[in-house]
Amino acid sequence: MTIADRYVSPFDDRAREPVPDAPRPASLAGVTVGLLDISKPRGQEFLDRVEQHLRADHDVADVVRLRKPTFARPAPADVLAEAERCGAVLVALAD
Amino acid sequence: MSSPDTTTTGGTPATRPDGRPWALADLDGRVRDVLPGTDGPRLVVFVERDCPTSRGALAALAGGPAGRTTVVSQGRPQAALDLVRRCGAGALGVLVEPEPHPVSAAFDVRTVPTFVLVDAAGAELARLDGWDRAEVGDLLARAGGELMADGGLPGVKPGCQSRSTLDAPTQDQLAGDDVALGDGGDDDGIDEMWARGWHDGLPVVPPTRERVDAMLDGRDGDEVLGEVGPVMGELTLERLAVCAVLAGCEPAYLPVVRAAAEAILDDGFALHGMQNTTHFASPAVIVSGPYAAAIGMNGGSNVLGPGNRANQTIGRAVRLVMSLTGGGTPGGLDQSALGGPHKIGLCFPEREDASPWEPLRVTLGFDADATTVSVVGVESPMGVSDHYSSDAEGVAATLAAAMGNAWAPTWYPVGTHTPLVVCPEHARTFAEAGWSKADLRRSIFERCRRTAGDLRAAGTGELTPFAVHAETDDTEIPKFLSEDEIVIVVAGGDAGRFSAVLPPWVGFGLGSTMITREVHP
Repeated sequence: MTIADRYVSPFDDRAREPVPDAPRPASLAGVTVGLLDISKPRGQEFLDRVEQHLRADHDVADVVRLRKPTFARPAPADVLAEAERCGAVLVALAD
Repeated sequence: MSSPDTTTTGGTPATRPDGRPWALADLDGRVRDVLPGTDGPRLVVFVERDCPTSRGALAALAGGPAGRTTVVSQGRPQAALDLVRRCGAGALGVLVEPEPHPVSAAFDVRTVPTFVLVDAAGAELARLDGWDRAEVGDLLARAGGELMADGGLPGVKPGCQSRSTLDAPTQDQLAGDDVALGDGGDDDGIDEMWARGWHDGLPVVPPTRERVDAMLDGRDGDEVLGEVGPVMGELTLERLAVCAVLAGCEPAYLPVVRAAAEAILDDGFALHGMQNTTHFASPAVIVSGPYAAAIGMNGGSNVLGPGNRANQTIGRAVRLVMSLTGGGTPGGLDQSALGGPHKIGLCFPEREDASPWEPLRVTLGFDADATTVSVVGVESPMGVSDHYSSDAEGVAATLAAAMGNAWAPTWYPVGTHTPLVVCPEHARTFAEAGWSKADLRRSIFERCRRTAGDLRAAGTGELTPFAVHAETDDTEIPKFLSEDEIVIVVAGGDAGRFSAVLPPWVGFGLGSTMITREVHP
């Protein structure tokens, strides 16, 4: 007998495969880095500085600027597809 | 008892003799792998309810981020529930290992607690029998967690004999498993709900199969209403009914709860973002139509709570769908800076008998005979007193000034639906002056604007791009982008010139808008 017999769960019991974190690159040299602006105010300004820093100090292959239309919703498929082409992605989370 | 002892070994206990992974049920009855795939070392902790060292260790683990940790509780489910409740460890996803304790035997556990650190392939990296705070801190850190509490234990404390080393559990042990220690048991299931985390900080009604079936009242519980973010939990009608039972609803409320759930799942509501915002936002559930009265909702005194079962529990059921099925757990994925009492649940009906105007549903284009539910993401209600204006213009000016404070006094425009609950006395003032609802909306829309220079001079920094980029200081910036964003609902007691604004969440078409669904009893 399990205790689940007594009560009905409010949770979704479907089995899910755990999604491991993406492997972290040991170095950014030669890596195309995506910078994802989630459309929080002034996020672009912050990412401008990050881009300068990456280009000047980390020998990255390229910097790709990505943008979610709104922070209030998950990233749309086309933004995710662009992000997947990068070797690393930095997300600017908040204002 | 055995002394604490750390050893490093290379055994591989990760799979059963037949090669399948070890799996046990958690306290919700869900079968889970003991060693789910991860990209780093995992700490497996074996504990037992009647062992004081185990209880202290579990409380210590529950006091901080547990990282990649699996906790296995030897004994029956009731003992595991009791253990979890006593240790405040509901978030750890404790697995239950009844006799004959095959996982403990496979891991060669002789003492509880035992901490076994394994690598991603399941090979054992290190082991500690008993309690040693420094050692546990090290093992937990290697599993991505952090030891932030001591569970009331000294730096070192021996453990107790593991049940897996006994030939068979004694009858006393088996009987003891089914008895909660200390407080005389849990006959009504309410303590069990606390242990499982099936609550919102208030006691809930345990969702027995009988109660859930009564809530469903013959409806198909397998019907899928959608997925609730951020964890994308599938909301079936049965799970909705479970949340309604937990909240204390009567079965007759379920059609209203359902309409509200359908509305918050509409893409335009942006629930995913609302669940994760640090803002106050949470749905206000506004019911318009005859079914509100049919189920005994209160549109009068204390309309925004408390005191009426339907008002309180419908709003609460919607919140439980969000926090349980959707995983927007306060303090977990819901990181609202301040939250608010409205996040227990905010649901109320219009009071049509005190309103001089057409009801909300008619304003929105629904039939007068219909009953609708409108959801808007809001803060807790912001009261507006006007006891001194003797005419409609004066009251409208006061209400408009209050509406202008939504989000922040300098945030123009707010750019989304903003409910204004107009009390019957204020409504009467407008009616006596011959104002229609549209007149009041237009008056607020026109009054509720400030110049860019005024906003910039306020100097708070909380300015929209409209204010920042306005070309001249004289540019007028409205609070609302259209009159439709001003959502007027008449409700409240006969006496008292107190209305209320429900300040909204993010707008501009990028955030949340009011969504309305018809109730089908």
